[in-house]
Amino acid sequence: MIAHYLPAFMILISLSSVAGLILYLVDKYLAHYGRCRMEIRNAPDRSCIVDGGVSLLSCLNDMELYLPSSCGGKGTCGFCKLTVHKGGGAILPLEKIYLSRREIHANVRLACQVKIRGDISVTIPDELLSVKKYETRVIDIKDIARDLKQVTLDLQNSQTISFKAGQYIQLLVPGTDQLRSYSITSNPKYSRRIELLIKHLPGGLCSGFVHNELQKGDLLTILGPYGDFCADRYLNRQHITDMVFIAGGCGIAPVRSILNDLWDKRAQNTIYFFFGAHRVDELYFADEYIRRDNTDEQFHFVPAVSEKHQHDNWTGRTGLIHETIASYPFVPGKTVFFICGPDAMIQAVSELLLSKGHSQHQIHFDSFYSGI
Amino acid sequence: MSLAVIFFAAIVTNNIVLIYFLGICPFISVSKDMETALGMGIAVTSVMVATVALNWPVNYFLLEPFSAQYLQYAVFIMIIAVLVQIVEVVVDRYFPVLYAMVGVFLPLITVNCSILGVILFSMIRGYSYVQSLVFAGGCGIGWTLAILAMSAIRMKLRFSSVPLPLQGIGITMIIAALMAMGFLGFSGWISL
Repeated sequence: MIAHYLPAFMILISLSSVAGLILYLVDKYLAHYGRCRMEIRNAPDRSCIVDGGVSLLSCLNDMELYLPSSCGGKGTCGFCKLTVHKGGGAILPLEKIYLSRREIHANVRLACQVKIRGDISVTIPDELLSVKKYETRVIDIKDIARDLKQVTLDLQNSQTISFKAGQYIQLLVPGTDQLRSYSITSNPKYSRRIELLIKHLPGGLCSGFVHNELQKGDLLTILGPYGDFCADRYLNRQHITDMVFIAGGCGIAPVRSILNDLWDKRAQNTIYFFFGAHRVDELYFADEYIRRDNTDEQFHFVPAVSEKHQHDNWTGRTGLIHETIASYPFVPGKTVFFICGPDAMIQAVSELLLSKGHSQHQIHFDSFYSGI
Repeated sequence: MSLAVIFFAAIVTNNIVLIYFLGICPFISVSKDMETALGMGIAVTSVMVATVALNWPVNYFLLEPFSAQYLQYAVFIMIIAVLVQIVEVVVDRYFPVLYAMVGVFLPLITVNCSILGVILFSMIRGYSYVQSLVFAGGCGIGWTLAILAMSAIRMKLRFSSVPLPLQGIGITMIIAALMAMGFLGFSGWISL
């Protein structure tokens, strides 16, 4: 019996050994790119020698240069843009989806799609050079609504974070290498703690974890701050009389931080806050803003719901938020707009504002990345 | 049977994808544009020829003398897997744009039934080493021509008003069926 199967066994062993040896040689001589020089043009002191064969994004992460990425390097969010001067190879078809013609001409690439195959020279957007990794502890989890939690994180190891109101961080989902982006909703004057609003998305990797598993005292890793959805550049500018914030659902997160910051800095501009939601119970923090509206002449809060039910005790506006804005006579050139919410809402509001003669430069938006 | 007949029949009358319906998965998925389809076709053809070039001697000089033909499937698939790994590394290194375009379908050549089908057909029909190589080359070229034709039709379809429920895979399957019916017309011409 053994003699019958012995040749077959020997054939399999010998063929497997030869196959293993061939793959080892291929891996050693073809798949290995050796040591490569990484030059960071706008931070020469960070230039170094790195191992080839990995993606530029993960290599920069190892060098503690954290580019934003919401898709975990799959090339589906288009956030990890940087300029590659030398050594990036040909641009891939996937990158062309996320890059404008001007960006392609200026050698802008997606770091997750560039593989290091030799010496490489890059320029990283200046604002990202200050992005750091922080270890935090969850000190509070509060239910704001049925599907929305406010998570307060305390920075560990005596670290402090310096951010502008309206910026966002990336949260590393525990047990994975996936990052998810969340706007900071707390006031930037607090540098040792940050607050996030996290809405539960069906099947959401991070939101599911936060809503079902996260406990007080848990440790979380965050990267940041990122983004330029900031209003402080228009603070008390004489030619800007009105600052208009338009949020949809949990798009209120960065707006809440910006408003608190503006009020702390005693903004003289008139502030309008249009807040749209599907249902009345999704008008998060509305009571707080209604109270402020009643006491502050410089602040106008305009909530609107798109689905009004009979049992709702709602006497405010109904309809989509861009329909509400249409009736306000904002003066082009003297008004700046900040829009945060779902893509469809941003598009509808932007088209309305452009049709009323407002400049593209004075319309700022922060859209959700819908990856779960 | 002459080499020319085997070669021509493998391309047209016995087309591996349109007559035997082997290798349908990448044929549907990687046929969105002609450049990618051509790259995939070259990769499949290379793996087919290399697979036959290695598996034929392994079968006749190693498995048969030891009466171990029952190991054919395991051994053939192992050799195909090694070859695909090598092709993947070479394409990634020297043709990164093509590598990005074919994506997951390049490593999936390992489990592409047309590759295993070609070597098994060669064994069943008792081809010599040279005949097997010619047959594999013909099958690879036939597969490439079929995927190129499909990608050309799909590129034209972008400018057509396909009914909504049929857009995407639906219309692609219908086109594949029509192409197969067209090729069926060649079947009485030469048979292997």
